Formats: sequence, structure tokens, C-alpha cells
Amino acid sequence: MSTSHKVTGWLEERLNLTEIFSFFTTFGLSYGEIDLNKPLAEAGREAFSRKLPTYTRGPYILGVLTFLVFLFQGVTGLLLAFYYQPSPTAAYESTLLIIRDATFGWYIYQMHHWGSNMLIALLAVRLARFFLHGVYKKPRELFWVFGAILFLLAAHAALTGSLLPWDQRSYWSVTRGLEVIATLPFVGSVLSFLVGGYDLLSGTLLRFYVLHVIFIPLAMVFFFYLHFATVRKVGLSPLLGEKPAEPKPLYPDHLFQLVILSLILFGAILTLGTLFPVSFSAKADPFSSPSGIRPPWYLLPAYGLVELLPHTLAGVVLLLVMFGLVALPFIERGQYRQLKKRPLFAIAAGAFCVVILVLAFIGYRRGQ
Amino acid sequence: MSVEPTSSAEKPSVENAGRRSFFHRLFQTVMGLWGVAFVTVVVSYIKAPRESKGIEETVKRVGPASDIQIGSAKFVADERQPFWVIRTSSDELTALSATCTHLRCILQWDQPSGRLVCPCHAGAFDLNGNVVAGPPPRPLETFRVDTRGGIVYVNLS
Repeated sequence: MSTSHKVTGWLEERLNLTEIFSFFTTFGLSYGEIDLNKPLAEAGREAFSRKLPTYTRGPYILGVLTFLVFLFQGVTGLLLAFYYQPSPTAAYESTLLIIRDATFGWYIYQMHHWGSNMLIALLAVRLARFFLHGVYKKPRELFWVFGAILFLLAAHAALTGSLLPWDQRSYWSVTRGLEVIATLPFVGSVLSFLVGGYDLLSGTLLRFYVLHVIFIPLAMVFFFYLHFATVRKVGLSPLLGEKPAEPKPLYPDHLFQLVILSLILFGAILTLGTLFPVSFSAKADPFSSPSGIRPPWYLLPAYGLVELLPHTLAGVVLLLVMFGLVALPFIERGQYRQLKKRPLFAIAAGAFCVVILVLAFIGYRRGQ
Repeated sequence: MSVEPTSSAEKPSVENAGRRSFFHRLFQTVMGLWGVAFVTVVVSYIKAPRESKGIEETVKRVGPASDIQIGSAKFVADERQPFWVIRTSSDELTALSATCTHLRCILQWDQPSGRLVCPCHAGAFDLNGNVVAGPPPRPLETFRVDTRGGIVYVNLS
């Protein structure tokens, strides 16, 4: 009898190991029943050899990668929290300590920064692919709803996080971003209530910190869980015009592919963080606005709109777009998934993308 | 946890088994290297960065020498090394660590007895740092005191 068997045997007499294991597997790794009465080794072997649809191949990797980046952000964020102090007097100095003094601190800082951009980009690309492939047709409307909510949450996580270094660039960039949020009717008031006003005062930083490290991540975990729950119920959406790929066992096929994917992904994040490090400027000074500061890139289209239209109108439009984004599966209710068979929505989506790009360009120019 | 790949789709021929175990080893090696790199980065990051020991870090400015009368003492709440500066005679100052060598409580200056006493376990030290009462196992650390232009400096290095 091997040592690991002895250890699990000893533990099994005292703990319901299988139940703990089933908690992890139902969260995402494996779906299907796990017999809680079997010892862990046996239940584990069953769960790991169960054949699953390949969610680590083709366009499905967008979802897997999103969750992996989210976990990655959790780990790097936890490490940053070892040194970071969320007060206007200490935030800049503690960030400087991370970047300059702590071993590999700059690396972790850069990876967290690039990981957040990667998360937003992945969620956006995933929504685009959901649209192109008509994934959200019955019974998978919730895929889109949770995906859109996760996208909005990720953007808020990035915005709240980008204030935390408390240098000139982050401070004024978030100020630009808050101008956008301030135009939103109702939602803007709720958000400004949460952060304690539209101005960046001393209390705002702490509230941003709490939202960034506790509130938004918890909400994201919740929606990830809901997404996994609906995938387990209705299954992955089959690819158009292709036979569903043959199910493969979780171990080794899925896990190996997951590992390879995460290595590629983290290689990409490491490379970006090394080659294009985000700058860290002087300490935030509320009494000197530097020139050429733009809101974060994911807010540029909204910023362009706010610059173009009267604020109230821009706010209403933004709010409608946000609600429309989340509720798209209930607006487009046709049965066809192929893009060709739903020309109206294809054209509308194309126009929407063009408008987004134009507005982003306007926001980019106005920010100078 | 190790789980045997019991139900792989293909029938394991001898050739396949050899290739499979080779890739298995390769995979484990690569993952192990990544794991080592990851743990190295995390541990070296979490290890608190060493304070830079510049001259301004090790030499503490205590204040005007005239502030400390004979028989009185001044406490300096340095974050790393709190200490007492005590005037033993008109031209002699002595600096002693303020952390008890027993369980690191902060010592108090007891002027009537001329001792540093520990409020936690009643340890006591004389002005040379020697243990005169209680449980402390070692004498106190003493530091060099310099008076320049009427200002007292203590060298903590």
C-alpha cells in the first residue's frame, strides 16, 4: 500500500474527502454525478475517466481561458495585497515598494495589469463569437446573459483597480472614466453612492479597493458558477455544420490540453508584461492635471459618446446599450443560428461595431 | 493525486505504451520546472525586502543633549530598534536597547532605582545592560552615543 493511499485512508476515516472533492469538481472541472459513498480514490478515478465534451478545443477555449485568467488575476492580486496599502498617503509609496524593492514585484504588478486587459478582451471576443455562432439561441440564452454581465463586471474590476497605484496617470485616467459613469442615469447615482461621490477623495480609494478586491471578484465567482451550472444543464453549444467532437476523458486529455492552454496564455501575459510594461509616473496630484490623459481603453467608445452628445442623452443611450447588451437573447428571438439566416441582426451588429470603433476613435482624439 | 489513465481510447500496444510513458515523464518534468519557477517567484516576492541600511538609517538623531538631565532618560520609539538614552553623569550618555531580552516587552526607565525594568515579568537591567533581576537570559544591547554640536546621535549598527 503506497503512502498516498495510507494518507487518504487515514483521512477518509475522519473526513468526507469525496464530498470535498465533489465540491471542486462540480464547480467546473468535471460534470456529472459523483458517488459520495465511494472512497476518494475510486470516485476520483471515475470522475477523471468520465468522457466529457471537449471544452478545451476550438472556440470553446475562450471560456476556459477566461476562467484561467480570472484565477490568475486572483493569485497575482493576492500577492500584490501583501504590500499594497489603500490610503492616499501610502498607496503610491506601497506600489513603489512593490515595483522597486520587492523581488519580482514589478513582474507581478505587470502581469496583474496585463491579465486584467486580457480578461476584458477575452470576454469581449467571447461575446462576439457567441453572436457570430448564434450560441444564445434557446436553450442557451443564459450563456450570453452571464457572459455580458461578466464582461461588465470585468470592466468595473479593471476601472477600480486602475486607480489603486495612485500615480498621476492612473488618477487622472480614472477621473476621465468617472466622467462617463457620472452621465448614466440611476446606475451612475448608485455607483457614485457606492464610491462615495464623483470626486476622487481620500475615502474613494478605500472604497475602490474594497470593490476591487472583495465585492466585484465575489460577484464574478458567482456568475462564473452560474455559467458552469447552466453549461452542466444544457451542454456546450454544438458547432455549426460539424458533428460534435467525440467526448474524451477528463484525465489525461482535458487536463493536458488545459495545461498547454494555460502555459501559452501565461506565456503571452509574461511576454506582454516584459515587452510593454505599463508606465508608473509621479504621485497623484489632485491640483495638477497632466495633458494627454485618456480614460482606460475599454471606456473610450463611451467617452467618445459623452463628448459628442449632451450628457443626459449620452447617459440614456449608454444605459440602453448596456441593458440591450445583457438582454440580447430576448431581443433576437429567431430560431436560426447561422449568420446568413438572420441578416437584420448581422447588419445591426456590423453597424454597432463600426459605431463603437468610430466612437473609440473620437474618444481617443478628444482625450489628447 | 495520481490517477491512472485507465480508460484511454486506444488499445495500449507496446510501442504506444513506451511513447505514452515518455510523454508522461516529459509532461511531469515540464510541470515540475514550472512549479519550481512559480514557487521561487512567489517566495522571493513575499520575503520582505531588506531595508536599505544607509547612514541615515543606522544613525538616529535623538535631540538636544541639554534635554536629558542627569538621572533622567529619553525614550526613542524607533520602528526597528526602540532604545533609551540615559544620562549617567554630566558628560556621559548611554544608549540601551528598550526591548527586554526575555520576551521583547518594552522596558521602562525607573528613575529612583536607576534601572530599566520590564513591566511584563519584572526583569531589571542596570545601566551597563546587565541583568539584575528576573527572567531575562541575556544582557541588553548597548549602542554608541555621539554628541555633535549639542545634538545627541545614536549609532544603531
